[in-house]
Amino acid sequence: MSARTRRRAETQAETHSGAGRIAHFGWLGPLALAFYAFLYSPIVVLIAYSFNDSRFAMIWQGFSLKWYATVLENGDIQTAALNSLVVATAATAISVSIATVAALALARGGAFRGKTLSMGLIALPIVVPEIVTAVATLMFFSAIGLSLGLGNLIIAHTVFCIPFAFMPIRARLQGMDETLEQAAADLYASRWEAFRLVTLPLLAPGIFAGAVLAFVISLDDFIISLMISDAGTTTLPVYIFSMIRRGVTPEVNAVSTILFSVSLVLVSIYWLASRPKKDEA
Amino acid sequence: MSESIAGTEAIGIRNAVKRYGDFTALKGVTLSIADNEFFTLLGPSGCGKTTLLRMIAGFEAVSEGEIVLYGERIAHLPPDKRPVNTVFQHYALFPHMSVFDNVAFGLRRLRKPPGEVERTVREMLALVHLQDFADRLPGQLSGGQQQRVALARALAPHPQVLLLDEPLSALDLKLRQAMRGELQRLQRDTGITFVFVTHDQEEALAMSDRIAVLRAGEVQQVGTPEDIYLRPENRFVADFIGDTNFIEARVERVLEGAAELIIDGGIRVRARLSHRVAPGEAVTLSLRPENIVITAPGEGLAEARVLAQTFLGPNSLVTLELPGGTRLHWRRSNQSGGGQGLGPGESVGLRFAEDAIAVLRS
Repeated sequence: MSARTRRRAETQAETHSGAGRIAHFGWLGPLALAFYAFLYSPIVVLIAYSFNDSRFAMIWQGFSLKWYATVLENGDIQTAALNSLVVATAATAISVSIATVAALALARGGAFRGKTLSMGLIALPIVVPEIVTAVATLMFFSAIGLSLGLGNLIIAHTVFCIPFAFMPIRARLQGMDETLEQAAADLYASRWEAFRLVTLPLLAPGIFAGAVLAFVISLDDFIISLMISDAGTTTLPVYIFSMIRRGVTPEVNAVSTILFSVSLVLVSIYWLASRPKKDEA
Repeated sequence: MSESIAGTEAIGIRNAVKRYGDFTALKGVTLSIADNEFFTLLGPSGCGKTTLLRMIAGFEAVSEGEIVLYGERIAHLPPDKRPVNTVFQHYALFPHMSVFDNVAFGLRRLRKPPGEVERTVREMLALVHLQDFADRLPGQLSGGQQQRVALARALAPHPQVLLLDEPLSALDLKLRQAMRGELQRLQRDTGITFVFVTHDQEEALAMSDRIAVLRAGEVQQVGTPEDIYLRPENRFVADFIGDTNFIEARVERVLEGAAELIIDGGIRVRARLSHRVAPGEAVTLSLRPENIVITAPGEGLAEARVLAQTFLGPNSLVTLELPGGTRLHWRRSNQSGGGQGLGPGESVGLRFAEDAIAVLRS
């Protein structure tokens, strides 16, 4: 606990002195603004035109919510959204379970052969180009003849969700004082009791943060989903892509805006959950 | 090495060895801690004192040897099966549980009925003066209060032995001194054997019934605070606890339990013996600076010249030089009316207090 407080204080100190140093570079401010404008103005435009009364995406004719109504009435979009939610929920549940066990083994399991290798393997899906994973997964599934419908998507999503679920859980575990578990054992708790009563409640914010992150990553995934899904298992991002190919109407903007809002909310929850709390200091 | 102990043995450590790969942290430690004793493991960092404590608690396995708790071998048991509790250096309170739940934790794991849990927790919180803090979270308490919660939590299951791992080191000086008396009181009130680990010699001297001084994984001396301070057996113990003068000497004559020795090329002194020496042998003596008695010139055992004087508040440390060149530190009290200070170059006579010199083992 105290170690974490100290670390936080150091981080704050660094941030402070860092800000002081940055102030010396006057051009950095405008540059940062330009960067953010470049990054976010397309999204702002996309959202703005989702309220467009026109049939054409890029010609403004007045404010309207009619495209949102169209989205909500579109059965294909509903199916795709439902698919996305099912896949994301299942992939999150499985990947968080695996990530939690992996984090416990790596942070608390002592030294074992292949520990560094295990760490690398868990993080690998982050660095391997997604298209490579996608093609490999597709070929693998067809090679073994696996066709479980949404099940295929869930398996593929679970794989790349694991590292994202793993990171906040392990970070939380590393910040946790190992003597707490020893104190539990010292006070006659069995290993299971120590885990259930001490480790798990303290790990919960990390697990929650990992779950939200995995959920968002799964929800937004496109390349792998495009390769793995077929006619009946289209996910929302894949469906949006197919809509664009048929011509861009503000309906695309509206459904994208909805997806963006859901992600934004979830990422905000993640951020709030992974923030250190005052009462634990 | 250990002295005879009155009463039952609470903890017996029999030739305990701890190896980490090539490094040996404990090199065959044998200790016997008596029932209802306040026993301190004292030594510099890396001496193995914490390792030894963690071995008693069950957090470290013994590489060799045995640990006996009230006659029962426990070295093979996991921590949750040993009737001992620990007060950790940084308390290790469960941050998500209230003070009450922290203190109740051990009792609940022992499946005590809720009524008894409630009663014992209230009793323990009263014992450490935290009755009104039962519903707080540990993060809402000061360091000293957290320390007392840790004590209450470890005492609540009424362990056979309480292990304390430098529990005062995170507190500030005033609080640390207040907690010394508090710990002694708790030990007396509960009648539980305390095993206390510290690197602070003052803490050890102030609280302990007996002290074991450790160095590099080996027990150097076991004894009461008086034994350790007044009758150190070797150079390490004499040096680690308090200040001392080391004097090179030659054994002149061996008497019963004592010896006559020659120091500084001609001064004849008497010293207590805790081990065998032979006439003619070169040995090192330990003499505490407060055990030098200054007399008028010509009236003491020897003459000395004042070299320097350092004012330290309650006393001053005066450097004296004997005719043969041996330098001694003398602790001179600065009590009011003690006369004026000594100037450098001044000549004085000196003798040594009775029983003040210890012959150290080489």
